[in-house]
Amino acid sequence: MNPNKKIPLTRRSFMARSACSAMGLTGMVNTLAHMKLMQGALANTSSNLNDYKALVVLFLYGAKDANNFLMPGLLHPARSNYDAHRGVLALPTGGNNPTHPIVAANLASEPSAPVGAEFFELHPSLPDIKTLFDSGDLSIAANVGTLVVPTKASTYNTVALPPQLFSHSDQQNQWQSSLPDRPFQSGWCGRIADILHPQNTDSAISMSVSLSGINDIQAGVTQVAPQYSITNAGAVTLNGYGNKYNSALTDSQNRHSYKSNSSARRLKAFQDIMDYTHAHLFEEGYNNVVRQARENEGYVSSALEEADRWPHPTARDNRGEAWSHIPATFLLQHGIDPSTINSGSVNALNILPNLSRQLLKIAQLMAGRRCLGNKRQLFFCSYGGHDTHQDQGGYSTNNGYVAGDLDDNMSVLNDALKAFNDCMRDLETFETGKDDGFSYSDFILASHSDFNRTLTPNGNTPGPSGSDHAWGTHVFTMGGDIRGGNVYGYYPDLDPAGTWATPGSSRGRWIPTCSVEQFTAPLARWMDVGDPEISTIFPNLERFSSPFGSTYNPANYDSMLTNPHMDYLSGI
Amino acid sequence: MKAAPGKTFVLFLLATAILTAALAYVFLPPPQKDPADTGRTTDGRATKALAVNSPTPGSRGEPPPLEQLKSNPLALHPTPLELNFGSPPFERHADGTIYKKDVMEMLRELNDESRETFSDLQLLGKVIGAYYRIFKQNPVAGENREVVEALTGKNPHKIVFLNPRHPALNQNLELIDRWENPFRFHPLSGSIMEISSAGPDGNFGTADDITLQDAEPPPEEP
Repeated sequence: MNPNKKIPLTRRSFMARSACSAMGLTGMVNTLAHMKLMQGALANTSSNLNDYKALVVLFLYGAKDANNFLMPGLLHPARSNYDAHRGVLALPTGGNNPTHPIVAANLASEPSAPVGAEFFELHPSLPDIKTLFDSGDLSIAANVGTLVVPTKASTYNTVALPPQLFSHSDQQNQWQSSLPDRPFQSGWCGRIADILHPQNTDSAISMSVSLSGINDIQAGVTQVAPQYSITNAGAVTLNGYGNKYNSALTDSQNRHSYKSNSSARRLKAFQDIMDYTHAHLFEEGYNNVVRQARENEGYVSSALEEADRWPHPTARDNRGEAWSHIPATFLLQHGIDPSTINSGSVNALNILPNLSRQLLKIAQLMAGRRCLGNKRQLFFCSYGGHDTHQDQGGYSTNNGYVAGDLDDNMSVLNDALKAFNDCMRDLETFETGKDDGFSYSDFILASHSDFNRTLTPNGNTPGPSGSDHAWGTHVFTMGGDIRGGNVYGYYPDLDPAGTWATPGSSRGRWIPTCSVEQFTAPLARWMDVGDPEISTIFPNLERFSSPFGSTYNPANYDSMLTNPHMDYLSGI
Repeated sequence: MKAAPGKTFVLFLLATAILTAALAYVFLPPPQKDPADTGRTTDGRATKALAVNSPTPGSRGEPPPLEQLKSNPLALHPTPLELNFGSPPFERHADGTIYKKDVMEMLRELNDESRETFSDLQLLGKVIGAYYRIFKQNPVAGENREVVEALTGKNPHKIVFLNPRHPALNQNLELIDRWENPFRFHPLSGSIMEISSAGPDGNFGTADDITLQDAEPPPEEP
C-alpha cells in the first residue's frame, strides 16, 4: 500500500474524524477545566451559607453614554475639557432641565485628590439616582473597561488590546466573560455559580436566573447551575391552558387538580406522556427537560405568589382591592395611579417599561426566595437602546435643551432603580423580626455596558447629533454593603489629546484605569467565594493590581494603575 | 457406562490446549517492559490506552503567554490568510506595501455619478469583506478614519485596499459620500459592519439616511 496515497475525505469519514477529534481533544480539555472547578466546589461544600445574598447584574446594552451619565461639576478640574469638547452634547448645570450635582464623599476627604475632584453632576433625568447616591445607597466606579494587560497611552500600540475593541458584540461578550484574551467559554457569573451552587443545599432551582434570556455572563463551565430564564411576566408556562393554567387546573400549584373540561384533559394527557419513563436516552432526556421545566415553573410561581402576599399599605386597584407591595411600588415610582388598573389583569403591569418589569420580577423572587431555597442567587437583567449615534439629545445656546434618546433611557433607568431600591428597603422593614428576615445589605446591583461613547459629538445640531464608540466607562453599584455616596476609580481628565485618551484619535476615548475583573472580583468575594476560587474565576486578575483594599493615588498614571481604587465594598 | 469416542477426542484436545498454554507461560520469556513509556511493549502490545496529544497553548482557548500579550499588539489577532503576494491581484511596492489591485480598481467607482448611494455602500461592504477574508476579522475601528487607516495599509500585511489619494477621502482622511459627508462605519461585531450615508441632508437620524445593514463578508475565498 502506498502510504502517501491520499484517501478521499468522504462525508462519512469527515464526520467520523470530527467526532473522534471532539472526543479526544475538546473532551479532555473541558474535563480538566471541569475538574478544576469542581475541586474548588467540593472544597467549599463543607462550609455553610447561613445568610442570603443576591447579586443582580444589569447590562446596559448598546453602550451607555457615561460621559453624560456622570459629568464633572463646575469646580471639577476636568470641567473645562468637558465644556470645550462635548459640543452640543454638553449639558448645562442650570436652566429648565439642569443636571444634578453630587459630591463624592470619599474624594472630598481625600488629601491627595486634586482641588474640586469631588464635584460631579448627574444627567438631568436622574434625580432619584442623585437621591440614592446622596443617601449612601449607590456608588459609581469611574473608567472601567475590558483590558488584556494594564494599558496606557504610551503602550497602546505595543501591547495586546481586547480583540475588536469597538464592536458591540465582542465587548459585550468580553465584559460578561472578563476574559478578553481567549475565545468565549463561560461568563464570570456562571463561574461563580459553578463554585457556589453546590453550597445551596436546599436549592429548588438554579441560582442563576435570567430575566433577559440566555446570556453569556451566566454560562458556567460545569452544568451545576445552568441559567434559568424567565420572562418579565414570570416563569414560561405551557401555552394554551390559560393564565397560570386556570383553564385546566383548579389550583395552579397542584398539577393534578384537573377541571372537567377539554383543556384539562389535554393537559392531563400531555403530563401523563411526559411522566412516562423511556428506555431510549434521547426520549428520556427530552421528557426530563419538560418535567424539570414544569417543576421549576412551579417553584418560581410559588415564589411569586409568596411575594404577592405582601400587601402595599395604601395602594388599591380599580376594584378597591389591595395591590401587592412590589408592583405598586413600581407603578407609583413611574407616576402611574394604581387605582386606575385592575391588579388581577394579566396585562396589568405591561404599562411599565421593560427594565422595570424585569427588576420588579427580581424583587418578587427575592421576596419569595424561601420557595427557591437558594442562599446565593445571581440575577441577570438588561436594558438596550443605548447606542445613541444619533438623536442623543443635547443643548446649544440657540436651540436650548433638546431632549433625546439618552433622556428617555436615563429616565427609565432612574425610575427602575429607585423603585427596586425602595422595594429592597421596604422588604427589610417588612421582614424585620422574622426568621431569616431580609436585610438591605443582602443584595447588590451592579451595572455593565459595552463601552463608553466618544466625548466629542458626531454633529453640530443638538437633538439629531450623537456620539460614537469609545472604551473606558463609568458603572454603578447599589446595595447595603456598597460604600455609597462615593466615586471610585479615577475620573479621566476629558482631554481627547491627553494621557487618558487612545492615541491617534481626537474623539475622546478613555483607556480604562480599571479592568472588568478589578471591578467584578470584589463582587465575587462579597458572595463569599474564597480567594483560591477567585483566581479560578478571574484568572487574569493577577495581571492587574489587587482591587481589594486598593487606595486612591492620583499622583501619576502609573500610580493609578497600581492603586485601582476599587475598594467599594464593605465587609469583604 | 462408557463415554462416546467423539466426546473423548474433544476432551483430549481441550486438555492438550490447556497444557500447551501452561507450558508456554512457564518457559517462554515474558515481553520486555516499556522503559521509554511509549505505550507499547517490545512485541507491539499496548500497555495502556494510547495517549492523546495535548493541545498547544492558545489552540484550545488558552491565551498566549503573558510576555507576548505585553509586547505584541497582534498577539490576539487571528492569523491572517497565507497569500502569494508575488502575483496578481497583488502588487508589491518599494515602501513595503502590497496593493490589492482588484479591490482598488473596484473602488474607483465609489461615488461615481452613474451609481447610486446604496451601491456605494455595497461596494464598501465588499471591500470590508475582502479585508475580512484575509485578516479573518473586520478592521478594528471605532471611527471612519480608523477604517481608512486599515484599508490604506495599516494592517498586518500592509495591504492597500484603498488608494490613499482616492478622491473620496477628505482632508481628515475620512471616506465621504457623494454629498461630501463622512460615511458611518458601525461595528456590530468583528464580522458585521453596518455602513451608512447621512443622505442628501447630511444629518444622520433623518428619513433620507441610507444604510447597508449586516454587511457580512461573503463566504468565498479571495
